[in-house]
Amino acid sequence: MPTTSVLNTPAGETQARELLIAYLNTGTSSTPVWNPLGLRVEDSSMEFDWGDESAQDILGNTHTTLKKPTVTQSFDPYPLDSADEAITKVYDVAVRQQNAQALANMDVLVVHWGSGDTSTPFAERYPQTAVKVSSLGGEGGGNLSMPLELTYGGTRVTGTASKGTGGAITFTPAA
Amino acid sequence: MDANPLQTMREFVAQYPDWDILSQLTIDYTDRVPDCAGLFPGGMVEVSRHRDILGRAWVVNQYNFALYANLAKAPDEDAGATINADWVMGFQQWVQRQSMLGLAPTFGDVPRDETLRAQNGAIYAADDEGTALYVVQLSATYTTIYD
Repeated sequence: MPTTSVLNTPAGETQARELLIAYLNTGTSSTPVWNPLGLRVEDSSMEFDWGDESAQDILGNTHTTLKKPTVTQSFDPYPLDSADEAITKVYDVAVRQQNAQALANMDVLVVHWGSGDTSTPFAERYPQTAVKVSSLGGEGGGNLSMPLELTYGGTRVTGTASKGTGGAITFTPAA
Repeated sequence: MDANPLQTMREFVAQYPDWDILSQLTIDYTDRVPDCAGLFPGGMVEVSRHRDILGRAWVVNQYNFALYANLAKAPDEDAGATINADWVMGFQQWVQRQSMLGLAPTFGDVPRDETLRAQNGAIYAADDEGTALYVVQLSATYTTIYD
């Protein structure tokens, strides 16, 4: 029986890293195909910049203002692997085509598998995410790596995700 | 992934171009007669394990083997000792070359990252009956992926 809560893992247990996955749309906007970002990447985090500003009033009290966050995430190093359809798509758009406009408007879905219903967890779609390739290379004898830096953007749509029998991810916007 | 690493290694070492001086290769023992060899499996050692952010586990393992070669060597005689040393070091260089060129056997899921090393070739024992036992340590490092 699925459970529904903000964090859906048992109390007293920490959450595994793989419960937070960003998926790149390698299909179209209307018929998305969601492929996970981060194969072979060992450490990557969403970074929240709240644009915070603090000031003190004449009584010495501190007041802080926050804005809606700019969310970024880097994947570094990110070894190239043709089995990784997400990095393959980025390689095509960034390296082969050098299509800056397409790179600045990529469709990314973040699924929080550890939040919400266990079978239909919380997800958020950023349809105009900037995917910046910061370098391409690596040391001799090592792996060819193409680190990425994402800036999540566009009109954020929240909803739920589900995984089909074949592993395909489906996003359902909240009503 | 190879299902039988011992047999794979056995077939591989026998491809050494100067292997033909040996008359037999046995497992876990070697006859104390000239020109016999034994391959001794030393089991597997887990070197490291880590996960990527998608939850896939990458485990680096190492298979260890020891090759014992019983070669002809008269006591206190340089010529035979020199020939044997050349054979042992030649074997080590051959293994290194095969590994660097990607011609060595592979055991894991990321063949390009695998290494096979033949190290510490040295005389292990000698007797008065005209033989000496040489040993070379072989180690194969490979990665296994668990989804």
